[in-house]
Amino acid sequence: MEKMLRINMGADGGPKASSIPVGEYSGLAGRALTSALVSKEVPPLCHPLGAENKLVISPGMLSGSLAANSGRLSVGCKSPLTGGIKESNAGGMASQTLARLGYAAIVIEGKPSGDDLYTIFINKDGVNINVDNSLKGLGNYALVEKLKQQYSEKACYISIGPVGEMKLASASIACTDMECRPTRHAGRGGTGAVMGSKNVKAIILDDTGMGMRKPKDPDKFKEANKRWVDGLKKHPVTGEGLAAYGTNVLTNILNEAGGYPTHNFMWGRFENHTKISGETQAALETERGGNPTHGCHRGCVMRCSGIYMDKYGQYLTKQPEYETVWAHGGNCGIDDLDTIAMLDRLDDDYGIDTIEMGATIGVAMEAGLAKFGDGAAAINFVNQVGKGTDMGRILGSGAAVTGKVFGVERVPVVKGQSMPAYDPRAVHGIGVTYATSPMGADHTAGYAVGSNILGIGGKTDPLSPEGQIELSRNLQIATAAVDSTGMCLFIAFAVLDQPETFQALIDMINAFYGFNLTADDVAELGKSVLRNERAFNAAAGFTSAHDRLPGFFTRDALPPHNVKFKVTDAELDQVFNF
Amino acid sequence: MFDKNKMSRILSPILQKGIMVKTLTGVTVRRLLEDELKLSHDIIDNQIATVFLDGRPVDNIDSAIVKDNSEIALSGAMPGFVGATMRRGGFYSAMRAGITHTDENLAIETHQGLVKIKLYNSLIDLIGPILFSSGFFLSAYEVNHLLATEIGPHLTTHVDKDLDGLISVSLRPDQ
Repeated sequence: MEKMLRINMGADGGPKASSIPVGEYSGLAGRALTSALVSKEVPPLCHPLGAENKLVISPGMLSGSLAANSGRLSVGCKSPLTGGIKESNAGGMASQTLARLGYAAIVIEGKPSGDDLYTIFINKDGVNINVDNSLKGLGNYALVEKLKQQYSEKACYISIGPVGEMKLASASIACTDMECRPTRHAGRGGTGAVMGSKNVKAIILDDTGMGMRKPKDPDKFKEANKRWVDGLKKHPVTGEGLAAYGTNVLTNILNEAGGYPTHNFMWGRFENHTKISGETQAALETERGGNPTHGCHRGCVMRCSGIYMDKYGQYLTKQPEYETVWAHGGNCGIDDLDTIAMLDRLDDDYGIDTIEMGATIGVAMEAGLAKFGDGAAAINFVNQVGKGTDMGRILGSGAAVTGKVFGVERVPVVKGQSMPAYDPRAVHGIGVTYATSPMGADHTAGYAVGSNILGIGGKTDPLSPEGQIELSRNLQIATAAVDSTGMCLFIAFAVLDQPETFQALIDMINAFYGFNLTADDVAELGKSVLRNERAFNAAAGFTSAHDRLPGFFTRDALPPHNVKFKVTDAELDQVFNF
Repeated sequence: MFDKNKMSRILSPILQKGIMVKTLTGVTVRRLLEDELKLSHDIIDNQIATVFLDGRPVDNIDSAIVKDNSEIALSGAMPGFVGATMRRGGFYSAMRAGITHTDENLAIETHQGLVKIKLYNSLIDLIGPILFSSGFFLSAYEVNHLLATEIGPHLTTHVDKDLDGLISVSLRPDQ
């Protein structure tokens, strides 16, 4: 991956593509590359939908190789939702395919002057950029079906739905999965709107004729990969738990802990949680001939996804993730899995972030636009977003805008981005990460291995407020590093508990690139990513005042434990002290 | 003899909501699991990763005391950062300190009482059949529902006069 594809959509005479060496970005991939490039090349004060913004799509360091679970794709830009830097990542086949084509990144810059809609086709022979206005307004499912006829069922598709074309701030970018369905999304932060602003409807990646990427030391790589796979398979979460129930297995646990945000973060428990739990979902999928154990890309050994069939036994959508089931389920008082699955399908088809959409509907319900628990109203809201009605455009702009338009105070956002499925009053540690992440409220920002493995940070008592700050800091550093490898964040559970599995990951990177990285180097990589992102946000006008949770989290007690968020502002300001 | 997998599927919703067991209370969580529910050391120490007592995550099952009418929820290993914070005695347990179960150091007498047990994820298949064999209590509504399923013919039920509104359910001894 020593080359980069730069596509100037605003070039004289029409879009121009040029393949150039990665140059100063050599050795970077995934989030490390997207954030380095955006922070260096995108003016922080530019309009996110303007010509000066750039959309950067980068596979991870080990994507395209035989390394298990290395198929995450990073998408970076200035976010139309937060106004700050954004890295959103997705599973599916795109990362592996782009890496095998040899590209460290696709950088889409500039902006066409007209209304024409473009496709970008990339294979081993080069790049073709074509106008195809017949694709306007198509949902991701119909779009991919149409493109498959024109290109190949074996190709991989990166696309936007109508919400991206409308440039709404909740728009996602879809990537096709192993079955060539547009089910895996770079959902957060409105990356789909940026792709829409460049008038790019789809990127088609065809790696026919390209082999696996080759490591510099094949024997060491093979041996490290074996230890890596063994480590993932022997861990109870990555080896068994995720495969059996998927991520939605968390519903019962968060509910039991009283940290399951219900009715727009009003309560910490949802009465009908067992109706939408991962256990119930997996049983229903099996009963209907679906599959609760399925990978989102080839080379995944954890297989936390699944196939959801409707009541007639026909494919409806992929297995909705925990955060999706929460956003459209308990957060909106909806206890019917078929309704939630339909909302997931519509989100994927229109190209909308499921977390942002669910949180927005929760705010709309609090505003009195519908009653909590009204599944038909929720489906109608999403259809309005997809069709671009006046109401739909408000809702499609996210929870913060919807809260302002309809006069709702309890809007669960940080930096304009909706909070996912964990109430920070019950789990203060995640509240620290929600508040301080450069991405806005993001449950994946502080997800990976921590100080116990990386050996970073000091020896602060974890029970003290300083300890919570330190843990969040170290988690954010480690996550930024993992996001750069292309590894699925769920590897965190195995490397968290098994230091030898973490070492296998470092050994794989070293064998692949001929590096001699240590755990300290990995930590430094994570720090450098966060420094780039923080510097961009500061130049875009962000201050410590933006590193705060909404006031109701410190003011209103959360039943049933009646807890409030108690980490002070001064403590939050200590997170980024490096 | 019927299919144990089918039994788990039928029992899963009931076990997630919770079943009542008549047991000695005023004892530690470990003692209840070990002596009253007859769970093995392997299950207690290696399979039960997360324990909630009255809705609060427990770090030390050797000191947390189960009272009459307590609710205990048991889970296998959980994904997600928050899943990791909920583990008993885990490295990230400090991040949910505000809701952690704390021992009250009260002298509580032991006596027979009722405790609600909830089972989640992998523990449904692992512990569900053990509880089912020894028997537990459900509401009349739940028992009627269970009797109408495929495992209904394999059950024995009886009303406990001391427990108003609850019916004892267990697997027939010949199963």
